[in-house]
Amino acid sequence: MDTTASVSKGVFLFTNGFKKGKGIKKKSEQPLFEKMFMKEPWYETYKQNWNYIEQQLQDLHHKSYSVLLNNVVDYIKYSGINETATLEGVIPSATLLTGVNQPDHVSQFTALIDIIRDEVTPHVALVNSQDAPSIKHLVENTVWQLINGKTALENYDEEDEHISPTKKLRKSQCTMKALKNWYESRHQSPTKKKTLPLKKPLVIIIPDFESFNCSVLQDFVMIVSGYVSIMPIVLVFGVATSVSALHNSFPYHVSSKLLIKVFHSHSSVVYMNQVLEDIFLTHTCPFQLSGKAFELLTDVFLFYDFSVTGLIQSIKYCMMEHFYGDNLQSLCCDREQLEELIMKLSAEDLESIRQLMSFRPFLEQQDCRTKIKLFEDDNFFREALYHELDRHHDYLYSFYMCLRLLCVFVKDLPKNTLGKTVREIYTKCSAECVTETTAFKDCMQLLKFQSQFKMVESIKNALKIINSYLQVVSPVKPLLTSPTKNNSNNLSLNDDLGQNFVKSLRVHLLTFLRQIENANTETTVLTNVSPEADGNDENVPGNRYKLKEKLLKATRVDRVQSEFEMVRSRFVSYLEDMFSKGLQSARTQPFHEILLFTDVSNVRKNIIGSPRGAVHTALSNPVHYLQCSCCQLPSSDSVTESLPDVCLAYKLHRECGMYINLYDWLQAFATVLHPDEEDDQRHQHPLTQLRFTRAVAELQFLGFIKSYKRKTDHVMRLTW
Amino acid sequence: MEELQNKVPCREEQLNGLFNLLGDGDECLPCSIFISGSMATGKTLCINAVLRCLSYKHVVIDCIECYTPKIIFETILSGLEDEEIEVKCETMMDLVNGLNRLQEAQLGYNPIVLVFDRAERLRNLDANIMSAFLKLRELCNLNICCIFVTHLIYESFNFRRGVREPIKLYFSNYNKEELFKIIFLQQKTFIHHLLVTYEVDNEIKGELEKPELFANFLNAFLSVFYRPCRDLIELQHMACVNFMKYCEPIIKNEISAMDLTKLWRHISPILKSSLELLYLRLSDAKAVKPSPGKENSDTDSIPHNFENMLKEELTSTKTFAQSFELPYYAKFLLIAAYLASYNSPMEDKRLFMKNHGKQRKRLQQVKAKAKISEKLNTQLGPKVFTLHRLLAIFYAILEEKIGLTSNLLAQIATLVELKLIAGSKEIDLDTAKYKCIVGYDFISAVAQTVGFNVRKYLYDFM
Repeated sequence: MDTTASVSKGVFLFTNGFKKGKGIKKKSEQPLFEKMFMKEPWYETYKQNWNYIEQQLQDLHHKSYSVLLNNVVDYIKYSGINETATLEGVIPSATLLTGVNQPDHVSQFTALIDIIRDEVTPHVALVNSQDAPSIKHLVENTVWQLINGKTALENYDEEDEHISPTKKLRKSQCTMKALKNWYESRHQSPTKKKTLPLKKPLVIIIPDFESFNCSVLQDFVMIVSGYVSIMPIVLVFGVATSVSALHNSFPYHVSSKLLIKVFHSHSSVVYMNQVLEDIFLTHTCPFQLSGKAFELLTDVFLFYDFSVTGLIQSIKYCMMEHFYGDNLQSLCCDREQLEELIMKLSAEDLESIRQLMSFRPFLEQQDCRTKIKLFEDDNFFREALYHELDRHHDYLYSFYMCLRLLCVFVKDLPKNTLGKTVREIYTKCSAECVTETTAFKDCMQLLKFQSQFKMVESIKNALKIINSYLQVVSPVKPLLTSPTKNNSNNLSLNDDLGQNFVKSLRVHLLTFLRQIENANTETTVLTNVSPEADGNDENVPGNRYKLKEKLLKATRVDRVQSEFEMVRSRFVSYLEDMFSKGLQSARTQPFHEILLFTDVSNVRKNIIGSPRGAVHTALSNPVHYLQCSCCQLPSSDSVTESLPDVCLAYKLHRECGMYINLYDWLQAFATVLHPDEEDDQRHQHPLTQLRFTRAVAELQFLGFIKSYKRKTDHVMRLTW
Repeated sequence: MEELQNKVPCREEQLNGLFNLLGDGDECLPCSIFISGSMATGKTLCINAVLRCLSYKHVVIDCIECYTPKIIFETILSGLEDEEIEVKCETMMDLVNGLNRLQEAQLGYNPIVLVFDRAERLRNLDANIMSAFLKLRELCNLNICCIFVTHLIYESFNFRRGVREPIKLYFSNYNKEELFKIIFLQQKTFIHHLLVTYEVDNEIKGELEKPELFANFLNAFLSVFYRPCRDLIELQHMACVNFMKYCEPIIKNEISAMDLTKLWRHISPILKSSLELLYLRLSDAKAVKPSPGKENSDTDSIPHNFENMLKEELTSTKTFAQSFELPYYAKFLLIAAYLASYNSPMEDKRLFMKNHGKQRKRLQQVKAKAKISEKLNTQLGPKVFTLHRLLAIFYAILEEKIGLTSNLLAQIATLVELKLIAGSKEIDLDTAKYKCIVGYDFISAVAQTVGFNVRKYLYDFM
């Protein structure tokens, strides 16, 4: 996407984006946010970024759903025509295989409903399993939605002369008969409306098939099948597991009433890869996740829930965490706004930028005078900062391009040491300098054995990527070059990244491509001169076999390096050079903190809740939450009297076995509270007993113990 | 009568029976008739044809949609009413009153018939409703008759004593000849369907329209399908689908329409494979006229493969399980659930702990085990286990150390939702009990995808 265009989009959304609302919770808090942070530059940048990302996400949604949804909609449209089937009481039904991640389905189905409303019919009902515990509820809900969905729409439809029955049906009156009457009154009485192409179908969507009660659905299908000859009804099932779930839960006489057409949606892993590659792992997204954080989020996705919505929300959380309360981060924005924003920064902000860790190595590279200038002269520093950040954007640009190139070359290699997808490679690359790892070296070694055909193919793919990258940048070109000229004079630069880098890369690759393609003919020259020109691509596969034979022969005779092999090894070493330039770890860059989010541990704590762990910490180490000075413990097992009673009882109970004698427990409890009294008297304080009883009751409430029936003075432990 | 029998073929006996019971307008109707017979034997068709022929006032009630008696009552009353008015009727008493009112107002002693289709559903309502309908005539002043249509026999309606027995009528299954006859009547529509889907030369069209061809096909078809399925509707559907395939080589000029043996050889494997798809009703309607905008080559190819894939999925759980996509830990949770269900808790220590000590094999035990070997745990069905046990086993079989997070706990609920584990959805703090409801084949396939050997941890296989 065009960078300039993206900015305008971001700003555009900024004005009206919040009417739509992201989530209920956010919505209610929005005014507070607005009031508190509206003036803060970091908040504005955050919002801009997020809106931009959201916009991109929606585009992607539309793109990825559209094919599937259009197929479904076509099916629904067509199903009405097929008269022969409906006469027998067979319901046309579409089955969407959606994959197991339930939360993501919501958006998919709302999109489906929107499309159906627009293109096919206004009568759509969506019934969730929670709303339909029995057949009565199911029918009532469906009918109510079908009838009222239409009346809601009719308000827009002024010319519809058929005035809707103003009296609204009560829920209990919504039976299939009522629906039938309504439908007939709507579609048959106005004889003028013969222009209407067809009876509009009624669509009933059941998004979560599995959680429905089987018998309810069976009855529902039977009922509907009784009415199909009168009204064209189409069912849409959302099935999370597989089609056989549908067949397993319906007996024969029910499933024979359904005409099932199956649609596959993308698996969520594919979808996640798409989201990550197209939106977050690009140079156009200024907010960057560090490799560790990124890995954490994808792990949550792969190991736990398969939910893309969840993933996006986590990333949003990371963004909030990154931007919150810090004006530095307002610089984490698009290139074009950078200059303006830097000018806005106060002296304080600049000072805090000077304290960033990555500023130091940058400083050490400069000569003495510049050093002093950087510290004293704010304007000079601003300029330097701008320049460095600009360079950082250049770096990102070439980094992501190299990433994709690497992915192209490495993807098909055996053993997959670096991984197959862009996201896997990204985690490796951003964590450390990838070119120094053994995995990378192995890959390059393997590349040296790759066949010519594959090599040509992957170079072509690589060139495609480069071209697309160059297209993206070219309109920005004038903007790019002018500032670099401005201050290139007094800073030491190694400006070989960015667009120029890519361009030279392209030239190199093109020459290599030509050489490798031609190398083929050269090798044949070694043994016998073949007149036909097989430089063109179509002949390459055939040539590969020839080449192989020849290579075999060559090995038998004497391993003379063929032309191709020589070019290949030169090419691979070039690749190594290129990647080591392009794929430097982000941490080596000055001021990377501004764009890169690294606070993994915090995110881990906040995103992945662990209820039991929290309770355990609270009870065994109350200081962690209370922040009091009295309960500082030398070790987690030790006890003092100042601890809250519950904690004390908890710690004592951890020392016991399966069954705990209450009397002994009380003794121990009392000993801690009153260490200096006589053994017999300690526990006789009514106050002690009271506190103890209460602590035990609280522990029981928390689920750590329960009473034991066989021995009345014992309790049973429930946790280990 | 003749006309009626043409309309409803092969049911002469039953039609005659119904006519004898209902036919004479000046006689009193019988109090109630009970019609039974298995599915798709023409019960409803017969009744409706007879009633329409006699032009009696009648109401047909599909009992399956009557989840409350109110709906039945209101359907009856509004069906008997001449003009459309709003009816309210909550109880049986209201119904009787309403009927009496109607009798005075408009009906008089004209015969009225109430047909209860799928009457077996009436059993789920209050117990007295069915018996009240059985003696409806005693309750109100009408020449009324209730007909119950069901696929159950009368004995499975358990009434208390004092019910007036209805007159019973049984619809037997169609036999092979009758099925042949009935489906053969549909030849025209089949041919029409065929011609709509394919473009056929006139010459071949003539060939296809010959009834002998269809008769031959039907013979072949019924020889395969008659055993597993007597459902006429389903048979018609399958015949339609398969007839298309039967005619395909003729249309393509590969086999001549007269060459019966070749045609048989062509169709018999197809019939056998489509036997597996019986009742499934997969729509193989190809995306009709794909709009020019989107021409994805993969979307077109999917439906073709799909039929095969589904067949595989149904026949072997293994491919089914592999087509299943679950998060990594969810897979382990599922395996843990399976192990918890199919091992007795006594053996947990032995199975999952590293240093469980050696167990002496006593002769007695060995004998005992040999004795009950026919009732292996894996064959006895899953046992209930608690959440704690599930988690303990989960951590035992998982090599890496992970925290007990809320995400993990949410996975259990998801598995319940997907019907892989049975259990209560709401979380009971002390005693959440679950049961794994997938089979061994499924689990071993899932385990294979994560590289885990299930057999090693099943006590039965030790």
